[in-house]
Amino acid sequence: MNAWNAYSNRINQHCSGSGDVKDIDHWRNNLFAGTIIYVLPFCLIALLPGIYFCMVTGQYILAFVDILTVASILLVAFMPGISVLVRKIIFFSFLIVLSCTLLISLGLSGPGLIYLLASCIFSLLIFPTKYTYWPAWAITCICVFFTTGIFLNIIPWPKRNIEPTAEWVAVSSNLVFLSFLLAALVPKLFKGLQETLTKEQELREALAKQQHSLQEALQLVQQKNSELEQFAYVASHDLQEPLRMVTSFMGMLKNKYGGQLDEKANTYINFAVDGGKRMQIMIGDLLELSRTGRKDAIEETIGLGDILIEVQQNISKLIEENHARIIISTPLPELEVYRGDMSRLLQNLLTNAIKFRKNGEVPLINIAVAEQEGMWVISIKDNGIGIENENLEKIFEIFGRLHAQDAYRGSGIGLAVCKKVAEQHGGRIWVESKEGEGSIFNFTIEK
Amino acid sequence: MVEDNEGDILLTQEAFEEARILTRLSVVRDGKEALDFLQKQGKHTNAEMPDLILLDVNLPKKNGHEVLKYIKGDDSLKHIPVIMLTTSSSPKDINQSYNNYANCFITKPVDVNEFIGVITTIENFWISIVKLPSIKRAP
Repeated sequence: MNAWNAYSNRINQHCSGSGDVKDIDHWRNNLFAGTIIYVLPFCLIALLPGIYFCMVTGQYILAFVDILTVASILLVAFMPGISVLVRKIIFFSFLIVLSCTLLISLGLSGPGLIYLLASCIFSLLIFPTKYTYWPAWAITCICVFFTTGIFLNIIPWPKRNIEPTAEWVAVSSNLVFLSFLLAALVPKLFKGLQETLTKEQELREALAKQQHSLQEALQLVQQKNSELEQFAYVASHDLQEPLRMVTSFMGMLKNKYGGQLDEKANTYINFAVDGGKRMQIMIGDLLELSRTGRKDAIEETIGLGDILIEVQQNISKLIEENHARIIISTPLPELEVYRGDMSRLLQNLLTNAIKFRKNGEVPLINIAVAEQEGMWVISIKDNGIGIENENLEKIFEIFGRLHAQDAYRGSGIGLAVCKKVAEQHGGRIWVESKEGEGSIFNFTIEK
Repeated sequence: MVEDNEGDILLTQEAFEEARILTRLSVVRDGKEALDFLQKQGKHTNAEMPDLILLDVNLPKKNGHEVLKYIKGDDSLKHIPVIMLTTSSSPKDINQSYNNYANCFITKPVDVNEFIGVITTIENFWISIVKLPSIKRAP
């Protein structure tokens, strides 16, 4: 097997050239090399009975040309330093010589005509398209040459019951006809192939280009996104320092000099302190939003019940103050989540459920979990003030608020954080609600 | 106290005054000065070894984490309690501080009364309640 590989590699090196894959000539050369690779062993096998036959019948010239042709194929296969085109011409020429010798030696009963037709087909396949009609003309010339030779009795032709020239013309005209027919048809096939190859190459290039630009765009978006997160983080972090100075010294002013100022001045200070505190809450929430879904977090397996206990401890003051009741009505599953982010989500939803309670009613919160299409659906139902239909989407937008600051405090970032967390876990968040009848916040996460 | 924000320095000083616990508060304004102070170098050749260090995180020249690492890596300094007192509330800062053996981490409250409360609590706890080591220098 190794010997065969070495042999075919050597011939491929000599006969294939180094053409472009998208060019049809590359495949012509390939075919030529393949032909040589397989012709060589087969013609060696065919040679022995051929020479034996020649020796028995006294066809010494034919035997000589047979050997010469095999030698030429060996030359084409192994001789270094000649171009592929020259190799093709040598191969073609010797095929023609062999065909003519066969014709002269054996007449129409030998394989000469078949060899001529075969050499025509071969040359159509292996020579570039611009030489398409050359083999047909070459065959025509040979046929005319034979006609003249037979007519003038130069070429010995066996006499049968028909006149030799007429017999030859009748037979050979078919060969000429077939040669031209093939010369007309085969290039059409190649043209189609070439077009397909070119188109495929173009498509491939266009696809690669598109893929590249898509990749670039994606990278840009990712970069912008992380830049934005970094910016939000740094900005909100650094904003806190000066803000704290404003509120702190306003507070000091009130503490130390409040008594010396009139009521109006104290009101002004109160507004300033209040504004500062509100801004502080917003900055804190912004920080939280930018921290949510950071790439350095790791998913862990934890019971939803454990997260809920943790959250209820965090907001225990709020729960006690409002006498809120939290009921868990289904078994709670184990989840594969980013723990910190998930507890932030639940804490925001529970805080909202208590914060937006109906006046004079004890907040009643119901938590339920269902399974749906490979997702956990977690629902938090409250008996609060509810949300108008038209605002069901708006509340998840960043800074999306429905109430004045003096009615309900908040930065309008909490539910944006929830949305980000749900999406981070491959899920989504939505709300069902009727104004005045409470809300059900649902979110899904991948199981 | 290692703090570069003049406002915080003033607030802390006033809070200490209000608490009326007998203490002396030395202030250095960047990380490098803090190290000079502890090593009695530069203009701090007469510095006394502190009983307690209030350390901000975001500092010029050397940040709080670097200063903390130096203190807790030095045999003659590591016994001094270090309280990280900073605006930051990021888990990264918190974890890094405790990993470097900070004694506690406090986020500065925005509300001035809460801030004063925190300072008073620090004084009460670390100076009145806690027993601090009497060594001033490692043997």
